[in-house]
Amino acid sequence: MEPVILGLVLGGLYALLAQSFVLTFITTKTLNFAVGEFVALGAFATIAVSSWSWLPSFGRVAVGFLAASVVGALAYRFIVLPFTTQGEHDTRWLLSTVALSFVMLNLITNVEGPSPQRSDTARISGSVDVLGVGVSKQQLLLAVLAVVISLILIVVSQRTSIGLVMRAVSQDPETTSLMGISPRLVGMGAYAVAMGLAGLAGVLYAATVGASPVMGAPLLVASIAVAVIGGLGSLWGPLLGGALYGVLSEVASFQYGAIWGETAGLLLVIAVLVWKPEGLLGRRMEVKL
Amino acid sequence: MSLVIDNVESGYDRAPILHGVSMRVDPGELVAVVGSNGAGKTTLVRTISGLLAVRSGDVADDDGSLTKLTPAKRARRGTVMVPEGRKLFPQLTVGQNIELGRRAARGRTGGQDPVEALLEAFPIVKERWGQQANLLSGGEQQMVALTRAVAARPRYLLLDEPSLGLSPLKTLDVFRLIELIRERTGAGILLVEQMADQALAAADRAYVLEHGRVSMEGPAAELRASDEIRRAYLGVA
Amino acid sequence: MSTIEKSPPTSAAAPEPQRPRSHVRSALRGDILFAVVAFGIAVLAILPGRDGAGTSISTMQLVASMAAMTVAAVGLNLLVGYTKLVSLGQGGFYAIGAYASAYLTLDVGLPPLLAILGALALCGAIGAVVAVSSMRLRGPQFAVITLVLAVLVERILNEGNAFGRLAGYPNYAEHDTTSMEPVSVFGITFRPPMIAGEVATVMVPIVVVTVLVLIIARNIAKSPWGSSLSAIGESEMLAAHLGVNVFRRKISVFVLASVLGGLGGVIVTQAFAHLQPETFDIYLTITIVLAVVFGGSGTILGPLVGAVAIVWLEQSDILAEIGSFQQENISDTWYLSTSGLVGVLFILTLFLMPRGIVGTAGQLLATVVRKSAADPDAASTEGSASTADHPAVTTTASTDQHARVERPPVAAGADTSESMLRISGLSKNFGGLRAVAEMDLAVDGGQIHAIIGPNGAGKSTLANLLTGVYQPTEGTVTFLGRDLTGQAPHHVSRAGVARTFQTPQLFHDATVRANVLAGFADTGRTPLWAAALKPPGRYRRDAEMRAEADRLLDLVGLGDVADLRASELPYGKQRYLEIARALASDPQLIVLDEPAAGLLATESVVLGDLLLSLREEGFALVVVEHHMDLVARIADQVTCMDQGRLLARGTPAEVLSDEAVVAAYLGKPHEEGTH
Repeated sequence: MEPVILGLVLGGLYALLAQSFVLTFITTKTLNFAVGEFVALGAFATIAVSSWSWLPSFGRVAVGFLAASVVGALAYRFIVLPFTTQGEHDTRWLLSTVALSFVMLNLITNVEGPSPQRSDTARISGSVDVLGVGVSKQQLLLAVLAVVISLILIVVSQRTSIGLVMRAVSQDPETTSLMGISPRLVGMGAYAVAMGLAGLAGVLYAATVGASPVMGAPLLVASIAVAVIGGLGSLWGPLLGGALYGVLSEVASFQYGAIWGETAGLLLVIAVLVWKPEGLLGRRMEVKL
Repeated sequence: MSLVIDNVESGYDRAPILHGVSMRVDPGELVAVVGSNGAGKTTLVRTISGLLAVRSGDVADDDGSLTKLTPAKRARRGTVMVPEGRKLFPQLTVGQNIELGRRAARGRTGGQDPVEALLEAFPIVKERWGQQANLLSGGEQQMVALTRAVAARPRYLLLDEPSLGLSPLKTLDVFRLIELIRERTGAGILLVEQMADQALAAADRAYVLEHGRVSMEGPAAELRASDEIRRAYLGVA
Repeated sequence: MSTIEKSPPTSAAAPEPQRPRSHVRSALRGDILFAVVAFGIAVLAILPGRDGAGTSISTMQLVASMAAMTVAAVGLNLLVGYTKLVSLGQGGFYAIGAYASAYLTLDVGLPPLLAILGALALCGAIGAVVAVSSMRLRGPQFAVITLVLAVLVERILNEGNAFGRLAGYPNYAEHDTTSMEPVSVFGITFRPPMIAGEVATVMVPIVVVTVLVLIIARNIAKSPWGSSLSAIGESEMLAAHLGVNVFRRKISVFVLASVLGGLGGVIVTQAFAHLQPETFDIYLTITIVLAVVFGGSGTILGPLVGAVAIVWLEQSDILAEIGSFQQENISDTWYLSTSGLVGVLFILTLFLMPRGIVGTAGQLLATVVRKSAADPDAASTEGSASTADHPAVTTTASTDQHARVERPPVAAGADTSESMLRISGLSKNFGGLRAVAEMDLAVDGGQIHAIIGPNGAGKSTLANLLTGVYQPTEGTVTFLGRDLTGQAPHHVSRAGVARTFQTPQLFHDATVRANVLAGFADTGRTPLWAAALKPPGRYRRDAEMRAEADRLLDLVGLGDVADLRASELPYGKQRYLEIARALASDPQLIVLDEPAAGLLATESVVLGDLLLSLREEGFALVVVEHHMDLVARIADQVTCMDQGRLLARGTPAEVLSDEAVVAAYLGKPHEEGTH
């Protein structure tokens, strides 16, 4: 039972990051491969303002969110958007976001140094008992947050016209612009929220393991895996994917050792992609001649 | 008070396609543009709607120049385009498509909703309201695309090949709908068409585009009767 | 089916035997020149190490690194540049090749050459597995699955005890040494560039292998096999209609790319004799992608140029100097060092040189050539424009050409009492929707059968059933007495059915002629070995195909624009190009999906002339069309569909005056001649 509960909790962190992939994908059909660096950016931004004692800790967390959010919107405008102009087969954005990840990682390392820094903002100590398993409150917070944020996103996208606009932009940005809607602004908005979430995850994650430039790299692969398992087009996907991935990798590493944990998770991605390329909850797009 | 295209040059990365085109569309007027393949008809409407940048010259509506505005801003000022191939949002319903059209009308509401009149005349669109757009036939899609454009409360409407790929019967329907739109909205309509004969029959005035230049212009009926046009575009010896 | 293989009409029809032969000669000259120059450069590159001077060691190591990166990048280019599949997994194969060849030698005890072959085979096998499992993926999902592979490999190398983890491989704890024994073959020992005074003999096989890989990749890129990759990159459906077995070809290209990735790793093992897991991280896999993009993806020399440039940049002090320059002049902490600068370089490349160094240089060269040849060029453009003005010119030109066309009588072997194409009881359901219901259709050679009907009547679905895009729910399709029901598009294409599309599907960046060349059956049929090794027959066949392509272009009136890019053709001309490409596969039946859509009345008259001339040559045509003037003029039989069913069938005059057809489709009776 213990690995299952821990896996679900761990899956929450991945789900939060996976949600940022899904958000950018359903609006702009792009993924930000630099998401790991936005995790670090959020964490370090919060540390940078941790001495501002006039700012309540909620405000410091918000700084982490906003810093990643602003950089995210700019990244979309200048690094992603220019490389999506050649139609559906255009995958240059994939390379440019990978390159962005190099640049950000290198810059953060040069500025902050490679070793982990302690982050006390948003730290909650103690643990609670979940079905007989002790789970740290900090980790539980991440998992709960992932669920809450996913639900908010789902409600907003279904109940407001924002969801309609997002889907329109993803299906045909050019025609959307003829409806008086700026696909560029919609994309920047999606990136702002998505990278803000990554920054938020970074702040909360850093409270447990400390902030370091490379803290996002291992999360990148796991969370992209979670997003793909659940389906890049579905806001419910990260919750399902996070739970499956988290539980499977925890159980595998519990039974066979740490290296098998990650391997099992990644093999799950391959299995899902083979069986259902659009993800477990994704809808298949019909190709028409 | 009209949509004015003044000496516009534009095109894709390398070669300019339009070499100094000037046109005018007045409110309530149906203006046809005919020309052979590659003459620059699609380039023209894409330039007016802002999907292509103007290299030199100017495009202006009643409130001034549009040249520096994004396509979204132009649509919100009332210059609305129906692109070639309909371009409905395939995964959305008919109703959602038309709702999206309304977004361009933000701040320009009031008066009677022009969409209602169209739905009355062409109930098929209303019948399909909840259906996913890509399940509609080509003719129905064109109806929806036109209705969606009307929902944007256009002052000037740009139609790119509305009859493309449609059966003769549906082509008749589309032309009837265009006529109705002109009546009900009072918009100036620029109609780019391969079906030169029908387009000239429906239009008030017309321009002939050749190699990116306006080679002829005048009342549509006159052009339709001219020998030159009949030989070059109507397939009549 | 034998009709395709028997006597290619080209040899009979080629008007001037002189021309193909000169093409053979110039192609051969080009290939020899390339090989000679490549080997020459390779010799120059390893010349500094000929006496084993200690000062040359670092140069030789640099050359070996460049060679390894080149080989891996050449492989990746086949995927990224031609097939348009962005793989982030090439670093993984590189690592597998390096570690497996070392492990098989040291721990398994295989002879080194066998170990190397084993490592390459392993890469190929893993590549095949990845290819099969990623078959339906494109774009980001494909990138993700390959990235996952690279990450898995990295983890295993870093954490698997068998590979020494951070101690590297080999290491003292396990093997009592930190370097591999040099490989000896026939008494020659291939020493790595490590010890001063020893000649680094391994450099010879390294550069030879690199040059051979380049030659093979060049052969492949220029072969029909290579154009099949571009076809898959453009659209898998299009490739299938060109007769390419997309499933198998994607596996082949991925296996080939994986083996080349592994070969790069083998070179590293041989050149450095020791492996460290941290050199095989994600950064490596991205660097290989960068090498391809920076050099020019989809070009022959791009991977070489890119790999050499990137390795040189990383090993030289330039990037470090730029880093410290920033530290001194801008900020001590806010600066970029090597990896960040590589990232910036990557982004700048995408912005400023999306075609990479080689692609951009080629483009500039082409512009210069065009400018210097401005006069004839202008004349030819003018010529093409004037044909648009006066369609009659094209008509006469093409009819003249027809006089010279000779085709063997249709389907000599087939049962002539049967129709060429026979469809019976064909139905197709999409979910609850019955798109086509119990349709029958029979088309004979030398007949034009038009299919008309309201939008949504199922005409396009019928065309797609006929060409294998969809599997019918019920019913059969028989072609030349052969059952084609439910066959995949490439089988249908090979059986002799070609098609054109509603919106022309072309290789927009390729020349008009190259588009027609892609239509030949060779695109689907050339085996990989023949593409790679280029046997003498290939030269002849290439020249033949070129001559035949030019003839087909003349036939459709595009002879004078053969060297333009396809995207430079106006829309109407693109349709003719598609027809020429369809003809190249030497079909018996051509399915045309709304060929006159978007054409002016006058233009569709010219199209009608062309279709009529094809009928005279014995082709059977199935034409889905809305232009009644065209249908009335050219069709022998007209089928009108409504709601998936047959509404009316007969001669144009009968069908177009049929009351049901008028009510459901025409709106008013069709008038002959004028409107």
